[in-house]
Amino acid sequence: MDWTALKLTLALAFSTTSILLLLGLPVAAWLASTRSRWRYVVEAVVALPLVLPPTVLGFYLLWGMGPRSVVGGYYHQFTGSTLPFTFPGIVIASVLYNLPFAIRPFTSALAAVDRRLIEAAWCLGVSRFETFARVTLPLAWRGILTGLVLTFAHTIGEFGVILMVGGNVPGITRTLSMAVYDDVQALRYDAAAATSLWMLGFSLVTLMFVQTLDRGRNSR
Amino acid sequence: MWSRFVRQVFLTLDDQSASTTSCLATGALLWVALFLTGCQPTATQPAPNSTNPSSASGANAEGDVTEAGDSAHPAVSGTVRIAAASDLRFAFEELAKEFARIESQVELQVTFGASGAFFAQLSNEAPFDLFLSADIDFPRKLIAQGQGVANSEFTYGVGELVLWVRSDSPLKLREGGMRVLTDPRAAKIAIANPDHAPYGRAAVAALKSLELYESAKDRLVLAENVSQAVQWVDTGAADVGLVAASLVTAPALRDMGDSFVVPADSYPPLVQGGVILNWAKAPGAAERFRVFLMSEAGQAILNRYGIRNQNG
Repeated sequence: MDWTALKLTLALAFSTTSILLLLGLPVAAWLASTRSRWRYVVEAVVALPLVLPPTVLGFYLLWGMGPRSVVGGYYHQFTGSTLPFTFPGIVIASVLYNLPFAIRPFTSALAAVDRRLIEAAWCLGVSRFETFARVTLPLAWRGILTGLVLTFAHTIGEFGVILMVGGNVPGITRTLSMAVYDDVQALRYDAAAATSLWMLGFSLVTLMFVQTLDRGRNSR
Repeated sequence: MWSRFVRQVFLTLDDQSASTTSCLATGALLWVALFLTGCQPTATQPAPNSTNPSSASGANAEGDVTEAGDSAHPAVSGTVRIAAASDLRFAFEELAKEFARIESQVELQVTFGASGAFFAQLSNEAPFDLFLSADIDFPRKLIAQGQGVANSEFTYGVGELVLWVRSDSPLKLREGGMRVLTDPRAAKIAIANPDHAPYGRAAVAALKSLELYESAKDRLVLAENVSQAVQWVDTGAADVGLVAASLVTAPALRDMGDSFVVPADSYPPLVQGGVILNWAKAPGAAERFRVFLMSEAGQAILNRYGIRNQNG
């Protein structure tokens, strides 16, 4: 078992999940309530990583984050380093790749909250933000947690994008799935088997957890 | 079919009902079942010596039947499935074109990758006829494991390691040579993964013997194979690469960057070798391609791409 890779993978999953919580909730709240025609565009963009091959996303990211692109150029100017092959680089990749896994469950959870309760709160003079925090969130937390757990688990298992933009640097971008790949290529079947078994167990427990969350929501 | 699959995924992610998540859980269980049943055959594969000779000779006999007219020189037909080291990526196009003129009945089907990765696949009997490795050790090991046709190994050239930067790079190879690696502007140094790519192994060996490894090791980024390392430098994602001369001297890249030949005595020679696999479906046709590679025409092309023939 490669502990450096495990630690790194957990750090990547925590970063991705927290960024998507902060970034995804406002988007999901908007998607759940808006009637704008742009809604379909945004929904389609959010869902893109589900159908787009990781290699395509990785290819765009490599170009988009490289020092000769606009974004990569500015980043280089301010930080003096480049994004590909760094931890921030794979965090960005993984946030983009996990958009649907966070935002879709968020949206459906928020949309399921009874609109009348929210409007009643507004009528009682509670601010929009406070209504969101004290009425919507407590009612939708299961769905939101489901999104977070799925994002976390999906990040742990990410491979294609990391292979394209990661650079396989131990402790920085060599995640567990990369470690398994390397071990198999180098015929270290024992190491690969140990890591794989760990990941299999983790995935199973995660899915079981998501299921209990879901059951709780339905029996409520 | 595809759209239904997509809709299924969407439904699952929206998870409106318990039934969709139980779908997820059933899916997971299916995977476990697959994993457990899949275990049986794979468990025997890491020890190929015990299982191979019988199955291999069977495959061989079959191949000989399809190549029945092989004893006379002409008229060999078939498809040769080739696993080729990725330093051959550009040279191979020209090799294939020239070969097609000589042997019009033989079709070549090539896959490029890291030699070590192919070795791992071939140890598990990956369906290839011919293996062109960037390191002669892998073909030798396959023969030792009873998976390569005995005495079919051959050396088709010696690869060369070069330092490579884009032409617009601030790193000046002509003045600095190997010393550009100590320049802080060489923030990311791309090499192939030394775990399974011979060029990566050579790069690490060269860095060590030139006493650059300690300063460079935290700036190394490891590509899946040597052509990905080239691609990283080409896109500007990495600043400099230690890569195969055969790739960066090819017409496609010749004008894109500058290269500097790494001193040949700083790493063990990259002797490139090949082997015909025991389970080859078209061993006769594979043999023809081997003969072509070793012929004057084949060697001339390889030479032009920086894979020098062993004698000179």
